[in-house]
Amino acid sequence: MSALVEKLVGEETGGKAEPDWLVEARREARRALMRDGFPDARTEDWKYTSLKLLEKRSLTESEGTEREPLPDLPAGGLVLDFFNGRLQVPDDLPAGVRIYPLREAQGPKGLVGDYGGREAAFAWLNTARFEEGWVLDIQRELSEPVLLVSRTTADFSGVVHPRLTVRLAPDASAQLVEMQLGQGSGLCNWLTGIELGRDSRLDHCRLQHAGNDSLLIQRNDVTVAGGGRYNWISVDLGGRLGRHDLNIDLIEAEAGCQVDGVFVADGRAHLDHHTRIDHRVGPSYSEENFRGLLSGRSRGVFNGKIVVHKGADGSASEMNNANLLLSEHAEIDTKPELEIYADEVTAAHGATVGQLDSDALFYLQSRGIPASQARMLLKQAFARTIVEKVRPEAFRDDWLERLAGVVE
Amino acid sequence: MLKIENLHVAVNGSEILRGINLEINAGEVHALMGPNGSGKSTLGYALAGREDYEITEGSVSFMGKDLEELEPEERAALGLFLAFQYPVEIPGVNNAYFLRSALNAQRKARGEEELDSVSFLKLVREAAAGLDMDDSLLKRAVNEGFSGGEKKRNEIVQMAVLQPKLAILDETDSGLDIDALQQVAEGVNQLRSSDRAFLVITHYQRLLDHLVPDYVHVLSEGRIVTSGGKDLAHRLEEKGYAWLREGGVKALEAG
Repeated sequence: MSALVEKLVGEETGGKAEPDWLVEARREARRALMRDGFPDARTEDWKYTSLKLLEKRSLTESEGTEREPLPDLPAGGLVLDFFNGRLQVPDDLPAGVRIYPLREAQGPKGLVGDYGGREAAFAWLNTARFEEGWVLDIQRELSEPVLLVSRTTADFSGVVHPRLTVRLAPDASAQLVEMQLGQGSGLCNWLTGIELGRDSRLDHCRLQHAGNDSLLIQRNDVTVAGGGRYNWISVDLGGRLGRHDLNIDLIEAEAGCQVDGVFVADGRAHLDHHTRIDHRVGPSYSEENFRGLLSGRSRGVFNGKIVVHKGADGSASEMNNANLLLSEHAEIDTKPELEIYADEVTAAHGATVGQLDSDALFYLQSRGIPASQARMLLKQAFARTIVEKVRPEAFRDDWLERLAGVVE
Repeated sequence: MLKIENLHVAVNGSEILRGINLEINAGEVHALMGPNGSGKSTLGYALAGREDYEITEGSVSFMGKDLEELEPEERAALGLFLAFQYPVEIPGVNNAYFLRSALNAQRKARGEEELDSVSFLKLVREAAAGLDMDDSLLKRAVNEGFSGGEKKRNEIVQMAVLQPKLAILDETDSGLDIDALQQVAEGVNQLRSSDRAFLVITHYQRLLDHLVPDYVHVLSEGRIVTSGGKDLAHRLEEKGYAWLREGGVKALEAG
């Protein structure tokens, strides 16, 4: 048993009474971790992201810090406040919304899965260790956004495993705004499941603006039924180690998704985005546009995989990854992957790594804008094109402001 | 205002301009004509201070300052403006925001007070209306998705807002239809004044019908081979540039 397994998995905890299916799922998770352990440099999906920081830090069990007041948010909505990993269940729920502990669900279907081998160790770990998982059911079109705030305190040095499954009924629609604002040196190991019923729609905007010591590992598994639409926009502005796995399963015809992301890394930040989109049935649609802006000694990883399965005929898929490398000590590893087993598919993918456009720089300077300001404008502009898509607009404006504060 | 003496410019090690002499005073409009590859645009870029355009010999002074010593933004603050032949698209930078940043950077460099957004907006709207440019273009990213004509108008709007002392128009007429050409020329004419000068770089004479120059210079192989009044442009239009190869300036003068 590796040191990391010993440290993170620990002993079985006897807590709340849980149904048999959940007890069994947790045991299965432990077995997987004991059997496969954690990924290392030989694990393909993790070869650019080392877990050394997790080994080095003490990561003591999370202590029960008293809940601090919620920071001001740019706009209102249904707030799901995860404070040091614990959800404050909102008092008033809008009509058509239900939230309940995962242990009160009827069974494991759609709530726990077979996550895979050691590359999925953190999903198993979350399953084995989460304190309380939650299910959010959305039955209709919501007029207010759901605001998921995940925050840890500056003295947070432990490990938490927040877990949330969001289910949209057929024809339902919602906006989900997620803000990862972790502070401290501990690890947040998030697992999110999202299930979109037929013809439903979820616009999911995610901000990661964590402290520069924080460790954040996230996995987001999404399934989209026929005619459903999942839009994801992700903006990373902080963190010390950030790893995000986004898996989107387009399981029926006319399902679609749009994935947009930008990560801004500076200092010693290490940000790793793995996305995977499965087209199971055709025609289904995906479009992905990811950007990286790397300065200092930062490191970025982008791995975008698209699989068009046999029978998913007539599907369309486009992926683009563009990176700006602004320092000789920064590094980006990008790998777009496309696997097609179907017919009549239109697919395109590409990745670029470059520096600031010297034509644009000269153009700005020739109008009187000093070189340093012109460079800042161009860096921000590179990220802005993604952030500008964020909705509601109050959050877009707030995130643009945060971006301007980060890119100087 | 501008004094160019024996200017030699090399781009990536190869010499393009081979001894240019030119003096432009306030209130004057100079046209610089010549065949493709003669070095017209190189002169514009070298004056604006583009990297890789190296002055290997000679000197340029503008408003009494040695241009070679100045960064592009310092030249702009001093009153030099280059309207690009191919204006650059900059996704993610709002057009109005860009122009306001530019104007205020120049004002700051000159020790003037910065303009607030309300006064700025008034200024830029007037400039855009004068050129029949749609207001919506101000809200879009700089030149992104603009048509060729819209890009050229946007250059002139910038010029109208920045109010330079010397404006270099690099093939501003290329890619414009007749109506757009007239509007752009009208926009430039409105800016003509006794304390402002223009250097109009063009391949064809047609812009000069609307924007009548005081002087016309012909550039060939990196040198000004002849200069004259506005009639020179008409003679060039009739004869093309073939005489440069055949008999030189004498052949043109003989005609």
